[in-house]
Amino acid sequence: MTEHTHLDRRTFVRLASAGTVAAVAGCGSSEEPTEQADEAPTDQEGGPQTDSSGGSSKPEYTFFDDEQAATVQRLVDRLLPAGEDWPAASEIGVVRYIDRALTREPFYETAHDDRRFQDAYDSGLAKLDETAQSMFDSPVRELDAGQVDELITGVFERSAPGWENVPTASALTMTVPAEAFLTVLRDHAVEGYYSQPKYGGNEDLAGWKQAGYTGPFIEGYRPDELKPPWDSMEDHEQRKRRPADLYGEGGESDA
Amino acid sequence: MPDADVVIVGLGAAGGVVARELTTNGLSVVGIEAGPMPGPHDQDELRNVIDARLSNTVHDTPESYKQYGQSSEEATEGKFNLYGRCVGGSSVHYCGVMWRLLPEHFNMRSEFGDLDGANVADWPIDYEDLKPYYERAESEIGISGPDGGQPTHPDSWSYPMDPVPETRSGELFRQGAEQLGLRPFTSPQAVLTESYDGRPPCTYCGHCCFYGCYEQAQGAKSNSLVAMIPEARDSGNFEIRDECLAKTVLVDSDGRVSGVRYVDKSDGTEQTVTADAVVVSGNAIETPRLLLNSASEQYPDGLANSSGQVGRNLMFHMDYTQIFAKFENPTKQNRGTWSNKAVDDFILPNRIDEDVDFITGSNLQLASVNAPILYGGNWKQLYAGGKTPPGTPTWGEGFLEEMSDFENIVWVWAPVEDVPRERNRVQPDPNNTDEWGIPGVEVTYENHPQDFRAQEYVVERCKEIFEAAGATEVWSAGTGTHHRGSSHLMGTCRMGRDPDESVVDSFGRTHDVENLFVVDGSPFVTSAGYNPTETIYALAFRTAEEIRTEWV
Repeated sequence: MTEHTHLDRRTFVRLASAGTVAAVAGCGSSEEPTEQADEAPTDQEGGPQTDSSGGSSKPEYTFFDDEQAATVQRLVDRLLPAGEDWPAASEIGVVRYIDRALTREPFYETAHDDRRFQDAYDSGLAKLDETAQSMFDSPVRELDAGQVDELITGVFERSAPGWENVPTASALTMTVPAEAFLTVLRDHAVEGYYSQPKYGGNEDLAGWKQAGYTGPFIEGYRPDELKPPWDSMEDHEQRKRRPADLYGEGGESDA
Repeated sequence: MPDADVVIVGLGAAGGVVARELTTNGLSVVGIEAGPMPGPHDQDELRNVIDARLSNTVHDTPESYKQYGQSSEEATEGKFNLYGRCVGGSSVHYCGVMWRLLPEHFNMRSEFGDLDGANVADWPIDYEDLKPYYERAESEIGISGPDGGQPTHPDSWSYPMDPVPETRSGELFRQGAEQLGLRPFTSPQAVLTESYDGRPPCTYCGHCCFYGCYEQAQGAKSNSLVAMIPEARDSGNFEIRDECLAKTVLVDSDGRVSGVRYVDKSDGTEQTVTADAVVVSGNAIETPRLLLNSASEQYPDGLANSSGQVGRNLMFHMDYTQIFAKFENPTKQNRGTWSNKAVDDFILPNRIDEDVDFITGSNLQLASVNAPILYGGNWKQLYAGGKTPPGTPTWGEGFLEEMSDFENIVWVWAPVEDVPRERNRVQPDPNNTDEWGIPGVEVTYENHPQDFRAQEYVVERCKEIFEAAGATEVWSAGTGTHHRGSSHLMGTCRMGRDPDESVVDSFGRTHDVENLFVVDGSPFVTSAGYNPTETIYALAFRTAEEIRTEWV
């Protein structure tokens, strides 16, 4: 039906991802140029593809289809927008983080298993599109920044059409109903911005830099590093080792 | 012939101490532990705090919570009580702040009188009874702290190691407190500041509370897992059955306990281990759960429950109490250990210079927000919500502006002493069972009005300290709300001299069954405004001594 648009969007996402990979590789031991080649757009060789998982190249997302990924990108970039000194969420891999969180094995038997939110994402994103249609006559991915903000505000405040009776997450019981979709998305976005890069977000430690946080080192912090004057993150990195898997099993780039 | 001299149920702070003390003195012990032997830990905030919640496996006991007057149908299901399930128990992830209780803490009723709506009583032991075991905990677990000990304590002592070095946040808190004429001091902690007992010193990496000590510094945080379990294993007298969940304590025809029935989680089969004595050291939720689930013909109201006190007098501390400040310049408060400095000047009413309308109090201890993700808030997080000032947007530019101040904050946490109440209790819930059919727990709890008055008082004093230190913004969180759970679980098998009013004697031996012992936070009579674990260690050393010298 809208194959043409679909293809363009996927190509766009892949291009964006290629840039992303380059950025990660550039921040440390830049030894994996083949990764970049794998991620480059391939629409010429395989002809038009309508299924994002059907190409010969590694798909960017495991869970999201292209429209969902574009919708999530639009949302997280308003949830965590770029500032003068920091990037927007999707610029540091937050969409990829969420895609992986939704397919990640839990760390332990009794740890949270975010795979249970897959249905919530499928239905929540579709429902947000319906709401966006009724409010602005467009799907979320085509809204401008102000419209996305209005949509998010309306959903959080339970004033947007269709969201009036959606339950909220409970901090006290440490539970969240799947219908409280935007709460889950917001928390996932924050996780992606500030968790270790091996999970797909916080590229180039940009989230930690945003918060002024220097992050973990195997050597920890000497007593004189517990008080000012404070050395920069780069100074610490020059004389200390990061945890070996900070960027993932393969080293600096896990894209 | 029984399988072992003693079976210990739960290998946490107390169970580890008892295991080491008994096995190194020639007794054979089987330890039943519901969780696994933990593998290496790391400094990953997502894995340890957000997704796994407590670095090791958080428990999977079904819980529900209700207030007074609510029926079981009105109870709320959720995760309320936070304890680790692994060998080492919650001592693996704990903050490791260590205290000796004050003499008055053992005599709250004599010192401060009776209180309507509460069940305040004296402990059957005094500080002097426990003092030698506090000393053993400090030297044998490995605790660092300031010379002289706690400034408001009438006793004075030294620790085997110097205290942790001062951080910028500690300096600010100390300066503010000093300006007000208070006596700030370095928090005693189960953290090594030098090589000790074959274990490495702390690297002040900043990933301590809620984490197991990361691989390259493993052992720098002193706990039951690294300080007690290895010697027990080396003794040749110790068998650990991990991932085995106790279902009932078995009773013979004489009414004595004879062993434990448990589920081997690896294959779901039920197994039995027999012993001459049983030590239950789950925690103040799991221990009464097991005793009450062990009701039998001889003990229809639950094992060791002729007093009706098993599961009652549940205490939490006012664990949600948090006070924050923001400063103009970075504090880098995440570096170092969990707690750098403390103030004890509001620990009890008789330490306070003015008349107050409560009988408890609290230690004020500097805490640390390990990583920005924890400042930003997440529904999965411990007592979730963020730690940002009230009114901070949860998203958008305003949220990220606040996040950019993450390294300028200081956080103080106050374990405000809650008074025991008979109605505050944990009961097995047969309608909410775990996957092996064992009844979960229903918790009924409301704070006494005096708890809120004490909380409000110490929160205001802490804010004054921050203001004196030059904070640009001060706020608090978690106040004025009834607690639903905690990581400090106490009181549900209270110790006492009178078998009609208490469950165990001062050694943890149950009044009803002479070869059944309880040691963890359950025997606490009152909660004291201090982290409980050093007292749990001390009680465990004392219980173990009783078992190996008197009981055998």
